[in-house]
Amino acid sequence: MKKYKNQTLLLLIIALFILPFFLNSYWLDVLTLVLFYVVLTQGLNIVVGYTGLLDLGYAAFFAVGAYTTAILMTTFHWSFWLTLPVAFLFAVIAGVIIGTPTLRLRSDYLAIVTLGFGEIVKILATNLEITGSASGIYGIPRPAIGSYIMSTQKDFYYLILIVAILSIIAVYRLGRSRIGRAWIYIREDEDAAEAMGINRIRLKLLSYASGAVIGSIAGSIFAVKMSAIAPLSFSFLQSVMILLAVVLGGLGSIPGVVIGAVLVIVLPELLRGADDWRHLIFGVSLVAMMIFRPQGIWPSKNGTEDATDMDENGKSNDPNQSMSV
Amino acid sequence: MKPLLKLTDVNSYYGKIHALKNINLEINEGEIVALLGSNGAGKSTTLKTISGLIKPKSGIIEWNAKSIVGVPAHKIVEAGIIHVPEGRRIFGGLTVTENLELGAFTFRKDKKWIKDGIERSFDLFPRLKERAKQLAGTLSGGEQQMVAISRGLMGNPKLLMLDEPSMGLAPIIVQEIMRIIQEINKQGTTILLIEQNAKAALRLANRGYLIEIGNIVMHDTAEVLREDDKIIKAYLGA
Repeated sequence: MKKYKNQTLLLLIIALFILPFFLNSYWLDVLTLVLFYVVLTQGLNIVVGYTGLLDLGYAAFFAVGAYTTAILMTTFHWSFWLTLPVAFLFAVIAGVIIGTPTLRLRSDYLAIVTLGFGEIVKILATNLEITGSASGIYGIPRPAIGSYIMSTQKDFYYLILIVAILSIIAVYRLGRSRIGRAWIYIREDEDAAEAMGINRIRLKLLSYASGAVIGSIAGSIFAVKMSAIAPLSFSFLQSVMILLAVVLGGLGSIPGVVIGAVLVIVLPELLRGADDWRHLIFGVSLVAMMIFRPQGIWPSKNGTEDATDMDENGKSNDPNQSMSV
Repeated sequence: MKPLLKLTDVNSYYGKIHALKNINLEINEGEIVALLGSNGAGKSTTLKTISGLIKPKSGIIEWNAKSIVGVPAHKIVEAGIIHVPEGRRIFGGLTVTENLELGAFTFRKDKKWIKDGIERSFDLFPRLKERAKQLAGTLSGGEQQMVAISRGLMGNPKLLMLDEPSMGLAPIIVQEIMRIIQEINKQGTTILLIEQNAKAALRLANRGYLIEIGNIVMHDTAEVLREDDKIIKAYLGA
């Protein structure tokens, strides 16, 4: 059974590697965007899916990666690859900055603070000179591997495909590690987890930081792929769409979140034929999906359904469990 | 003999509410101590203060003659004080085994301890063995309490603090839980037991404290408390 599953996965990966030769440039672009979303949703999956911390400002980390790479490459003429570790570092710092004041907050309050954080980052990018104000940064050089300069659509497709695969592996491994289990315990019942000896503060910050690093990788690649970035790409809507993909696919479930990313990008494209109706159809199908599959399309094995229903004394365990997204 | 745990003039607040007023309490090694009192008297607050979930405003809490005031909760667990919270608070979406693994969280990479600990839990509560792979949320109330107690034991406590283990359970299950608490104590774990069910608790305990609106109003051996008029009237039912 497991071997069978591995074979399917291998076939899927091979298919993804040869697919660009059969697609026109429009669909290749859509597929590349899907892969960006796969990376972003995996990062957010750590924060929202594993740890249960509702984050409405995740695009901020995407922005941190993109701007770090863009500034270092244009103003300081660094190589793309060297900007990555710096982007990681900034993402970790940003993760800790958002993590520290929100440690004691839960559900709605946490959502409001993260929303504010996302807006602050966007507004900073719009107003600071170093980030090119509202017009953003343009003329970002192409990355090079040795003497080969990556410039075609296919080059970036492969780059983000590899990063997507690596981030899926990383998030999968993290989820099954001791740290991953601790995140899940915090999600399920923070007080009980703490009473059992889990260092709540360190693990929550670690969750934000890990999610931030993955988001920043997507940002760095986004910067060199687009060769121009502007604050508009890192708006609240972007955060919402990433969160939507995670919730739609199934919180904490890796295959679910990948499917969520595909749907959120591909569905509006498929509906282009319906012109003005497409956003309405998209919205209605989202609502329908949440009604019929409230746990997501491919829920994780450890669903977030709470034990409260079965608890005879009717004592609510934790408002965090039933996240109001 | 030096007490294992000693609280001296501990004051705790819930926001503005003065929940614990100059609490003095001692637990010696190997004892079962019962903390009795009605709803809202401060029983759970006492436990939360000991386990570091609430920081006391003033007073001394000594564990093995060392102060643990201000020590973060996860360090207190490592020191050997484990708190089984009220209402069981098990992880309903995780299996019984996964819940038990959490209890051994502080043991990090000691896989053998975790495996042995799970076996020990199943010896203590054979019923859980059949349910090892079941989601804990689907168990009955009594079984969930067994999971909660086993999870606490997985951390190898020197002092196990149980907050109302009999809450919401059928009398026959209460008896079974109480028997097992005694068994755990015989195997060498000191126990601080919070109960509204004073009758059951005093049958088990060596000593008891009675707490009323944040004050310890009485403490004595369990035999004396069982005969005390006030306790009989208020908590045992004449």
